[in-house]
Amino acid sequence: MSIYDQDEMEQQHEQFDRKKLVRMLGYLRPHLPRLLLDLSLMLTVTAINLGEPVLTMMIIDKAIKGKDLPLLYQLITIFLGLRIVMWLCNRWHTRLLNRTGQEVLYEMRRELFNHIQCLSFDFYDGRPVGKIMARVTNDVNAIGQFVNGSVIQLFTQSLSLVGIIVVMLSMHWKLALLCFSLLPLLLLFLATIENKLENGWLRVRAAESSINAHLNETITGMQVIQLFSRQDLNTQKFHRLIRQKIDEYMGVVKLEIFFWPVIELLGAVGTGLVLWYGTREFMAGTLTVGAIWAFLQYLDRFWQPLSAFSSIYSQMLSAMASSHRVFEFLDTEPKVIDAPDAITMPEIVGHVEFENVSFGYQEGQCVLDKVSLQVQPGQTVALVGPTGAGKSTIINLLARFYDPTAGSVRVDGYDLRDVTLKSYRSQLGIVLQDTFIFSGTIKENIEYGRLGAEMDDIIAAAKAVNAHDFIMRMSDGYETVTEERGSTLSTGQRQLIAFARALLANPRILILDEATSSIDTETEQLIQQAMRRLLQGRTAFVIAHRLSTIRNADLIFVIDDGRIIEHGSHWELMQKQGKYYELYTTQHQHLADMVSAN
Amino acid sequence: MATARRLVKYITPHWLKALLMLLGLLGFMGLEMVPPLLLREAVDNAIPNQSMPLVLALAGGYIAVALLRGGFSYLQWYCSESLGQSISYDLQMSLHNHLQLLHDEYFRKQKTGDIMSRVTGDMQSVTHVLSWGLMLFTQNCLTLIGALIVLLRLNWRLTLISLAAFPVMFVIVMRYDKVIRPMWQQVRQEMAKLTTVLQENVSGVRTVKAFAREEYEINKFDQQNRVYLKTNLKRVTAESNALPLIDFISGLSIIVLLAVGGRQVILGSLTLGTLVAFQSYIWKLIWPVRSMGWLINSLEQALAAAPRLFAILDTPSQICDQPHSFPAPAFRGQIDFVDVSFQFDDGAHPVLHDVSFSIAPGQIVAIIGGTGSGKSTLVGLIPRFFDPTAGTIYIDGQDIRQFTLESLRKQIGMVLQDTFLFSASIRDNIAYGRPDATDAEIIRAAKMAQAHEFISQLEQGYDTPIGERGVGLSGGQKQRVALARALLMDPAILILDEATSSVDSHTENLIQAALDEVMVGRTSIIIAKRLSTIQRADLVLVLEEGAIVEAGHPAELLNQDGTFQRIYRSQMADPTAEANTARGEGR
Repeated sequence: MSIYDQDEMEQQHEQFDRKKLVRMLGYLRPHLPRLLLDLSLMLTVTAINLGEPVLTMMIIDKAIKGKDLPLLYQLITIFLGLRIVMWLCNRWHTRLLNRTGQEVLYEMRRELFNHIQCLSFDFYDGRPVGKIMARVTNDVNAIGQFVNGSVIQLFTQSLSLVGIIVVMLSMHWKLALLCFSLLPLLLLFLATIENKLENGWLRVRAAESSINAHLNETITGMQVIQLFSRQDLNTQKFHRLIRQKIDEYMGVVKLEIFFWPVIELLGAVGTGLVLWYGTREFMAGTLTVGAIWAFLQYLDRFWQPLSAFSSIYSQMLSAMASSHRVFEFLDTEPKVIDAPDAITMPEIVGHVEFENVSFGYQEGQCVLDKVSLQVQPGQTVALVGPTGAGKSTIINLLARFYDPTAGSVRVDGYDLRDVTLKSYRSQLGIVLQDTFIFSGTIKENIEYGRLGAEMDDIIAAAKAVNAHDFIMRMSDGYETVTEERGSTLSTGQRQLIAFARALLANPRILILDEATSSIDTETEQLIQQAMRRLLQGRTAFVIAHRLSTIRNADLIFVIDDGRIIEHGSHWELMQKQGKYYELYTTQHQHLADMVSAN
Repeated sequence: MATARRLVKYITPHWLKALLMLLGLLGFMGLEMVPPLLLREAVDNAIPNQSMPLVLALAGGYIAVALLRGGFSYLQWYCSESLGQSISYDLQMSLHNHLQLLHDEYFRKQKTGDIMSRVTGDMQSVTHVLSWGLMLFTQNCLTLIGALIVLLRLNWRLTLISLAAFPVMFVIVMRYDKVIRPMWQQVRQEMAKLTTVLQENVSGVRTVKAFAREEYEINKFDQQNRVYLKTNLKRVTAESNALPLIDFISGLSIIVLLAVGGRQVILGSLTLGTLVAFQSYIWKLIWPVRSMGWLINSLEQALAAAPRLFAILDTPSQICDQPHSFPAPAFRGQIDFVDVSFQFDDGAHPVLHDVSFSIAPGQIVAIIGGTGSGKSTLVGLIPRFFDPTAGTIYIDGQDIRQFTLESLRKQIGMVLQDTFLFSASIRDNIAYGRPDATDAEIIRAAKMAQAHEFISQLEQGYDTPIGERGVGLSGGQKQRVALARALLMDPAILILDEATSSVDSHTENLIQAALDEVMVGRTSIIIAKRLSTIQRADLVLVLEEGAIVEAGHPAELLNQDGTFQRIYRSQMADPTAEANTARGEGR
């Protein structure tokens, strides 16, 4: 079982939380006037509903028994009028309520999306895409349902409950109190199951989210699954996950549906009490049969709002569980943010400086250890070193995807933490290890580097990285539709597009992270030429494994174990005969062998 | 209709649960008739006669009935929920398992977010209706029929007059059904689009951030979010036009009854008692009719969602075991491509055409070629990710389509260009192809892939969990884990599709040395760029635009004036480059 399942399961210790409730209801605040209007509509409808029995009674008692035909027609007309009013109110109410609900959902999705957009890389690292998505879709829906439907219902049901209680008390307060004495029993029952229900719903949601994560992984990793013929084991795992969800779900439902029989029973006991006590009062001559009959009618209605409350309550618990997960995202502070007094980065000249920079992705970890480096504007810098030495981390810090734990990173003398992210990053061009192609067209994907770029500029960028030729060879040229995982394109083609995208951004600082590795030597040579032209006037950081690429760099940093162990030009480092010399010669040994073999 | 019939099939295996649910329902509804009788008895006889024992007996009976009804309602709800879960289990399992059968090309075309929204959201609304909706529907029908029979027997003329408005209502219901169906379909589609935007954004977050495009993404999401909102609001308008109207018209029958019946009572052709009884039954009739409106709503939701599920289930797998396929014997490793061509379904260009070559058992083959020349597709044909559009691939002289997929793939160790690791421990990832592998075997494979060293340095070693896309590891580390995973399979045929592209050259050399040992006795096909790797090959295939333009021993090819020589030269063009750097140094 993966860690995420455990991670989700740990969240189950979550209690009813007034703060969360208030926060959920907060989403209704902007819609308050509309809700008040809706409430008044509902009150009208409730009033008509309560009034109808009286009207019917009048029709029967006065008009029919009194054989008064004109009165009958008069009352029927009123009846019809009230019904029309009710119809219009209901129509308006349906519209208002659903509109509010949809708008609240829209607003929540928007807020959540905007927020996770601002979160830094540490949030995304190791968090499966499926789980993030489940929160923006499923959990938001659960909250929306509660906030939308339940709140209005709560109001109207409370009102009719109050009405019934008042009527019952005014009819016979002793009998009324006798009936109400059963309420604590109901509350006791609710109190006992509440905790279990709440935890249960949390576990159900967690189990559902594991299922989503599994599905997402299955879909994205299908090739590997099929290659290793793991379908059966994968199915077994899925089976386990669904079974677990079903067990959790049925566990909660078993408790929850107990509610109806309990209400039923309490209702019956109440009726029994009224019959018994009512008969005593009747024998004492203080109560009429008609009064007992009427009282019983009201007692019947008394339980209706109570059972409505129960379904509202369970919806609330379900929403509470979801809100925990949604608010957890909303409350995650982005670690890399603009300082309050951050200034706009002026146009970058390209002087980069690391001063005693230390960094670890987790607490206590040390990926970089007091790294210091200086790069002059326009220099091309190559970072060299074994995997895991910290090359990517240097790039991550330079792009300010993370902030250093100690020391500072400065560009043109500005500490990166003192300038706004947007003004800084928009002057960077970055090609990362994993090239991501968005669904759209090739043109749109290149345009991602500079929105609204002219077609000529896009073509120029594509030509510069030698992507133009293969693009023109495709059926629709630049309008060729690309898909999310870029499957219409080969890995190399994807990278060429990523290059074009980065170049179009016309960055002051260019960062290439191992991106050249998937392009064949021939194409790469062409790119190298193009790059040399384009790098002019820009500072560039390159992580490339091919030493031939690195040789052309102005400055080489050899990194090992989080430290810079050598730096200088290729020439200097070769003469030094240190680590770089070692790396360089191992690659070339084979070439030398081949030449001599021929 | 076909959709509905197909949906019902999902209930049949669980007929017992459905039956029990129905039983609970009948019991619950049947007993509903009893309490009023008990009450009437109490009010008409027991209380006026001041008979306390009878009152107490009636009260007791009342409680007993309540207990029974509680039991029935529990049964009904439990079975309905359980039925829903069972159906969702079946649906999800069949979707999941069918997806696993589908061929590679399907996943290249279909967006992950779209498939996800089908197997989660759409699936839920289908199950919801099949369990809960069905129960409600049955309950409504039963009440409707029951009340109608009683009414007709009481006074058929009055019944017909009272229900005169019902045909109008049915017309409205039908029309509403017609209007709301495409609306629900649209809502589903827009939701899928929204999910896709979200999915892409989350998957591509690094690119988004690298280009500081958060605002653009926020706008993109907002746009789709708004479209979704609007689509929903349109549906809401249709709903609010129809549902309260249905309410109103069904309520009309009460008014008509009071007017017509009241007049008859006054004129003496009807008793007051009948009128009162009539009225209470009409009420019972109205409720189910009213709820039909929103029952149709959720039914349409499900009917809109169901085809999206069936679309997955109905996609035939293009790559599957053939009727007479048999398990492959242990391969010696002879591979022959005979006039193999390949073209994607939608592709305008053939990716490969007329590719023929032979590989002897134990040979090392290097495939080189430019970007998009078809290298990955060519090697993908061997484990049958795709089947050739024309031509045949033989292993040990047998057409590979004759083997069962599993037996074929089990003997092929492949490291793909895009490294995909699962969110599990490193150990589980390496043992992916052989879950029963011992620790010693896993460590041996990791050592060969030069992964052991960095794994041991991790705090939790082989138990270190890695993220969905192995985010915690660098590209080179991921590739080495994937290599170990393939090596552990001890495959007869080893295919490395740029398996070490993200590994630094020092480590690559170590891997290469280990591979030299591993490759003995195996047929190995390597897509590589580095000459150091190509040099080791027995056979080099140079691919250009889907065709083999050069083939032969590297030493041979070096003496031919062709692509290979050109690539060789470009890599060997180092001395001049060194001179350039030396000059640039002075800056």
